[in-house]
Amino acid sequence: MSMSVLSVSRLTKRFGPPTGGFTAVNEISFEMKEGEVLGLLGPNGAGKTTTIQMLLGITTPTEGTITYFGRDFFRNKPDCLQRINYTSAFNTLQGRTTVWENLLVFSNLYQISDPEKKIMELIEYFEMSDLLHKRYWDLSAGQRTRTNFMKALLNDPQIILMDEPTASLDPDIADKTLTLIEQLRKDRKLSILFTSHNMPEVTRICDRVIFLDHGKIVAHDTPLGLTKRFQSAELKLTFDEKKDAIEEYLKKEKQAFRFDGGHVVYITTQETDIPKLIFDLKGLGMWITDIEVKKPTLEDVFLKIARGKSHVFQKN
Amino acid sequence: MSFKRIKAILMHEFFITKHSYEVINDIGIYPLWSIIVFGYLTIYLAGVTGSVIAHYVLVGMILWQIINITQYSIAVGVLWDVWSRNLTNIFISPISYTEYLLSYTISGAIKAFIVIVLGSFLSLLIFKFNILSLGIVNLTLYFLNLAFFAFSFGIIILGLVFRFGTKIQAFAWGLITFFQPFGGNLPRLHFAKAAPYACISFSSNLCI
Repeated sequence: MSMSVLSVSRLTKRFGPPTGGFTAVNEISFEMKEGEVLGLLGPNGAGKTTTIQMLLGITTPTEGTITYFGRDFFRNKPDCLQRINYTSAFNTLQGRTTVWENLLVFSNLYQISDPEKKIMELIEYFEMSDLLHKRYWDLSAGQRTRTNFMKALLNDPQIILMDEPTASLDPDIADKTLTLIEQLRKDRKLSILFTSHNMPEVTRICDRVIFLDHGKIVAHDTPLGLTKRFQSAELKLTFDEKKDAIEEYLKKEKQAFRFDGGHVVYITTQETDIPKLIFDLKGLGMWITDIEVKKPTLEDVFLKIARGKSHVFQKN
Repeated sequence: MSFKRIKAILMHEFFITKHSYEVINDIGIYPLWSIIVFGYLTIYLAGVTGSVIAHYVLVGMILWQIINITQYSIAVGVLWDVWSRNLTNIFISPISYTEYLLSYTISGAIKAFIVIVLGSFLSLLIFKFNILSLGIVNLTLYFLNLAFFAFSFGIIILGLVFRFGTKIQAFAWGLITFFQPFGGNLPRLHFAKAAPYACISFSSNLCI
């Protein structure tokens, strides 16, 4: 079994006075295993950024502990920081200096023994050799993202915290960035804490996800496990005729449904009831020309949580 | 304390300065130009008040640059990373606050030293005034004392910027000028007074 590289216990951050203040993060606990990609999700203001800031040591927690590689973070901060790194769409490098200069500065900050060799290795890996002497703010969004990744890999970290790394990227560059993350994970056995508002991206990348809402963990499972907690699916049937018979049947079966014109019906039902429904409707003499089943996605989970229905996902 | 991390911030400072005409102007051209302007003023003042007072003004302006440049280097140096949204990247590296501030102090002192040497050379060349007439020991004490004052003031400004955000960022280059009228008194300190004054000032700066 993989060992835990990050362990967070009862982590809390309160702003303002003890009474009447604001609790941004409220007693959250979780673990991240070696080589795992853990998604940290939640609507705006859920406490993701504050959590990441505490995990990076920029913000001091009010209560709770953070343990990296079995060692208390705040007692061994320089050693832990030497083994982790961070990349975000919202934190850029120094815009006035070149890619090479930025990387040289950070490789010295991380005390890399042969900085030039290390930078050249990364430059080759990321195919950035022609941009080496370009100023950071002259780079395109995709090139900046790659440069941020190079900076984040300079110290050969065991953990990378990625705060919306694909935000503001076009779909093509975002896809390339995700492929890159998958490749990095495979090549380097990296553990990644990943935040994003793009749910298909999270489903693709993450092994497990944690949903935060109002500073608390409201759901914690695999992306598939979370969507399975949704008990309903949407069935779209396109049919030729017999609308009245269909309506009568669905009312009798107490199904939630709506017609879209005279030939399409959307039925919200249990996933397990779908075969029976189709079979019964066929028995009515209905000529079904198209069937589409829309299963719940992580996006639906996100929307439920953002709309204050997080209790739906709590495990009994 | 890691020399490599201090070197990293010094390199960072050098690269930013190299690519920024604003910095070159603020800590190079503008201070030297001020010395020249005040040098010409001393020529006028020498005719009205005598050469001693006139020289006080010129020495005051040269020594003022120690405060100006060191303070600017610390306060505005950090702001370049705030503006670039790069500060987080620096502080999530293993650098300590001591290493970070020490790097900026060294960087500020180097810049101030270069400008003082150039300013002194210009005042000798154009106005026939030799700043070494103050005495090497006195000059060294002045330099250290003023650099420490500027360093302390820079840290206070940084604290204010971190606390209240970039809406008060103009303090980083503007607030120090409130001390400029006192600059003319700097050369009036004789060595006998300068040494204890420097000691007291060092200790109070360390306390800050």
